Amino acid sequence: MVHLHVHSNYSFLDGGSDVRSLVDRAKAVGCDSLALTDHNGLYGAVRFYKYAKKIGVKPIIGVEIEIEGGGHVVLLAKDITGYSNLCRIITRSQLSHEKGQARASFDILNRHREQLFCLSGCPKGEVPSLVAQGRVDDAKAAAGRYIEIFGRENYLIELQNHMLPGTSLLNASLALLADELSLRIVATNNVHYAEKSDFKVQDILSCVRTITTLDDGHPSRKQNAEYYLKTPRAMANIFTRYSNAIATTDWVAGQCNLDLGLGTYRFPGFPVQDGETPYSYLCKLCFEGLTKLYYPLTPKATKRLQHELSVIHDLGFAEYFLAVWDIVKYAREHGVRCSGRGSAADSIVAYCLGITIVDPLEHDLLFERFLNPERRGMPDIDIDFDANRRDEVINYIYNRYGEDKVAMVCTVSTLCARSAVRDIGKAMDFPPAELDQLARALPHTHADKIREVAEKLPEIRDSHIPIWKLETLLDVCEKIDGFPRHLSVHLGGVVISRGLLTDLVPLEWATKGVIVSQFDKDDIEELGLVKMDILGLRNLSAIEDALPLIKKHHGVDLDIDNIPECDTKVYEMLCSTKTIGLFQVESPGMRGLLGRLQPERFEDIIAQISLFRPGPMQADMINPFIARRHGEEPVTYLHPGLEPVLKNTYGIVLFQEQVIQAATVVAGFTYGQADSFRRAMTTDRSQDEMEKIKVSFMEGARQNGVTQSAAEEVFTRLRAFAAYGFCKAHAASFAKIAYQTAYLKAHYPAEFLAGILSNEPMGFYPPNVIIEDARRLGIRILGVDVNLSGKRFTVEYDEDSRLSPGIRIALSQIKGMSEAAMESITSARKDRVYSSFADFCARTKVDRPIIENLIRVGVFDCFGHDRGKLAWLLGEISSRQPKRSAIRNQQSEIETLFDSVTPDADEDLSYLPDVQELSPHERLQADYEIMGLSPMCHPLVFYREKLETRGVVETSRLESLQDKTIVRVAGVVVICMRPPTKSGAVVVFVTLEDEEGLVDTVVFPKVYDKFGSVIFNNPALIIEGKLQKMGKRGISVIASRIYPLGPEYRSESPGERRPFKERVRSAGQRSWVKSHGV
Amino acid sequence: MSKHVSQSITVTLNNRNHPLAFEWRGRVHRVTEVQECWRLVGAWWDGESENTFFRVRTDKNGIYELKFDHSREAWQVFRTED
Repeated sequence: MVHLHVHSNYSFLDGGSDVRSLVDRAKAVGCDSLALTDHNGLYGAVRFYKYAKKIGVKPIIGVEIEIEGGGHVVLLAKDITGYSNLCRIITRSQLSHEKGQARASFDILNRHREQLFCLSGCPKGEVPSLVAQGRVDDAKAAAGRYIEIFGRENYLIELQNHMLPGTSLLNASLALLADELSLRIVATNNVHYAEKSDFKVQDILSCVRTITTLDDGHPSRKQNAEYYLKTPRAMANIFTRYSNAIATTDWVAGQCNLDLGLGTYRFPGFPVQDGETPYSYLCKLCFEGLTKLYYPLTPKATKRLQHELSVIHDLGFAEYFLAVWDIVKYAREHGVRCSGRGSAADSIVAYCLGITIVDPLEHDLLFERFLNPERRGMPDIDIDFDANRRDEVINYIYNRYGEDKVAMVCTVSTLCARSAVRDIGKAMDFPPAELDQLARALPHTHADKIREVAEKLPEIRDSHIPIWKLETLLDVCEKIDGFPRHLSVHLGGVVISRGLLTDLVPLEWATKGVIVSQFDKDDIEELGLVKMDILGLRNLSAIEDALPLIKKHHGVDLDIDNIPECDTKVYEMLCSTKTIGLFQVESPGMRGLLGRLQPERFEDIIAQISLFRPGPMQADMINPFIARRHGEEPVTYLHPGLEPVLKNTYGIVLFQEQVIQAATVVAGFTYGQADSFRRAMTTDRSQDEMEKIKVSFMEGARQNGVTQSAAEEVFTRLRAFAAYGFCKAHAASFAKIAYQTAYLKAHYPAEFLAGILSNEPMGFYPPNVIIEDARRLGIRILGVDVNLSGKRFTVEYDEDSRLSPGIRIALSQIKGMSEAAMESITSARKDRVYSSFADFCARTKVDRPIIENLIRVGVFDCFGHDRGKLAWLLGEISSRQPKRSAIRNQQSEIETLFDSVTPDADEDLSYLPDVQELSPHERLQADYEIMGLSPMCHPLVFYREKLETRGVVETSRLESLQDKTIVRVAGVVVICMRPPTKSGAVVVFVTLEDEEGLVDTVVFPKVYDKFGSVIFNNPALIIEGKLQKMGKRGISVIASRIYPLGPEYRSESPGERRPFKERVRSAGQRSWVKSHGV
Repeated sequence: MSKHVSQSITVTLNNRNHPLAFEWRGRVHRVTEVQECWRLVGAWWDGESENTFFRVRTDKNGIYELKFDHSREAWQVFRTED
């Protein structure tokens, strides 16, 4: 007996088990074949196919598809032709209807009917439901349509028995109908979960799907727990009267013999001129690149290129490299900044083709880490593009290969702790406030860790949620960990096929009208299709924005891709830890590490990026690395032969490339063998498998003349390191961009930070923190000005350069601002600047709410009127205008708001009543409300006076204090993180910002246990603790007590200790400013 | 006409766990036909259990719905039909 109608959790919130559990269960109960038939898609098909094959169950791929006009049927693929037809039917059904409303027409079924079985479906299917209604003739007519399409042999009447009232009668009628039409009957169980006990999970997911609670009830919920994968014996017992229906399942399974051809590569073709082959053309391009990049050519470079090309030839990957080169070439020719990331930077071929920007010879990068000649794996090249222009590149790919051969790759969003708690909690009718509190308290973690996390979090432990209710919630959350929730678009994955994509991949709509594959990137790779990550990186956009500003204000045509890697100012800045805005090295942890590491050369930046990762941190690698770097600990090597490999990292294995090199040196492996050895040690292996790996290593070492004890020692250490070693090529690629951003900030801070601000959100910090950083660098922050502000942040210098540069806040920062309004404002002033507020109103098409916001943040201050009177005038003018609905013409174009306003209407506003000017803190509050930042000052300025009386010090004073001094600091919470720790204990890192800068604080478990709810429920804090100084610049506060920084600390006016204007800073957190009415 | 009863009974089962006979109100009713069998799950989140129902015809030509409560492992005559 074979189950031919089976839903997994890829039936999105309708299946209660994953594909592995279903296959395992089938195997356990003695089914040698199993079908997967999820709703309207093949989402889980590839992993199902692969796993079933692996454990010896024959996979049958199918779908339960909705039919136009109502009902659904089950389609099963007999072979690869049938599979392709499934893909086409699903794609057409999905794309010809709105997202989530897939329906197959009879025309689609008819056109793609070959090599498919069609089962009549559950009682809601067209034929069974007509029979159930007693409309037997109609049922026969409906069946006739399917017989006409699929043939009598391939259309089967499905019998199900879930022990529900009326089933016996329905099955008897269906069997009779089948007999009259000479059709086979087939028994199925419409399986929705593997084990009976999984019913609850499926039931609650049904509530999530139908947006109901358990108490509500819904017709689509199952009435009992009989939809599990029953044993053949149980099925036989249920269908004693219809034993032929059971026999038919085996007959169908016998007819289904699908070979997906996994492991075959299906590269898109790359046309080359007559006389060339893809490989010869690739060689030509590479040697052209080599000559330019390595002039004068060295034997080392030539030999390396020849070696890589030869491997690429042997593996048959020439077309793939050409395809990537072609995309990068398009980007570069069109001025789209790009940079390859990942292990591709290990390749000189990628470097010569311009795909990557790091010299693999200079940085000792190993090609075999990228492409292992002894392990034919799909090369994986990810490329970052200027985020603002990434879509241009994707459009090029569509045009280059054709829309029928390209699609965006989907990503399957799975249930994690927060989403699971929210979804399941709603279904369990938790009060929204409790649910919100619970979900907010949970960090981003997998659902199966919720219980563990919840037990550790004081804010959850101290909540008023009844334990039994929490327990049930947590039980279900644990079970649905990793369940697919919905499909969305992968950040940048694009799949390209040689033939029609829908021969192999079903497609559907994603949000925003994008067509995506139903397979994620892993499944796409399994099918041998080319997938490229065309990623958008806003840091590249920021660089691209900064360069024209530098050209404009400094007359420098900066070639940022060829700046020297030994710039003193760059390293000074990195060592000072003032790295906000820099790529990869701006987070609190990175800044702390920079302070200790004190980088002096490019290799140090690579090491910095590789060190601050969960693996090295959990393995406690940072401390020995720093100690060795500063000569505080001797540099030792596991084996004398490893000195050349590990010299740059002071004897410590930091990079994956070093693991490969070390295995080569000690065990005499080839690079390919050594990479396989590294991969073997980085994946979970059984003790037996690990023993085999060790034997081969030890044997290699023995033949290489290494003593057994030394080889043992090296193996043990490599095994430990391999798990967390970082890919040096990837780190080097990131280091390159980090260096470029550092160079820009060190030499052109105003232009760079303006670039960053124009491309927010990005990195770790919100715009207000970037603004504050700029202020600390001596850059003036200039308010939004109707005549001077652009769509993006700009830089201004005064003519005689007496003043420091200023960053002008962009119009885009105004709440509610639209692209159309910005266009109207900037285009109308191109020929003539605005002479007055009334002139602005007369010449632009901007909605009144936006103008109100513009007034409130002082956009018209340049005209000399106070904001209150302008607001009054705006109201007065608009009251004289027709209603907004009346000022739109038939084409719905927004007309000028104040058609009748004359440019001198605001010449004399003395007739208007006096409006009390906003106080400084009211203005600050308005700035934060409308822009999320302020050109005025940091909110803490208003708190300083009272904070000083309570012994709170400014962050700028911390550097002058002794190590271990007990201090109190206060500020707005900028970052609050709970990263994983080796012990599993909860350690919270809180970064506070005051008007002088940032301070990083560490909250250890005991303190967190006591003050956890204070930390997470207050946007600004006072933290008392011990000052900890590490290295030259590493400063942090180890928290011992934490208090909320509430409005009781606020003064009505800014502190008097220094003139207000000298103390102005801008940063803070919008919500805090709003809640405290600063 | 059917009448709701819900009275405890003892039941004799066959090898498929279907009722062969039941004793109710002091007399034994022999099952001649199991017309329908169905299973329902109640409000499991409130502690309700799964129940299996059998509509049977007896030797005296009576139609009865018998209910088996899985958690209590108890049988009832749930409903009778005239």
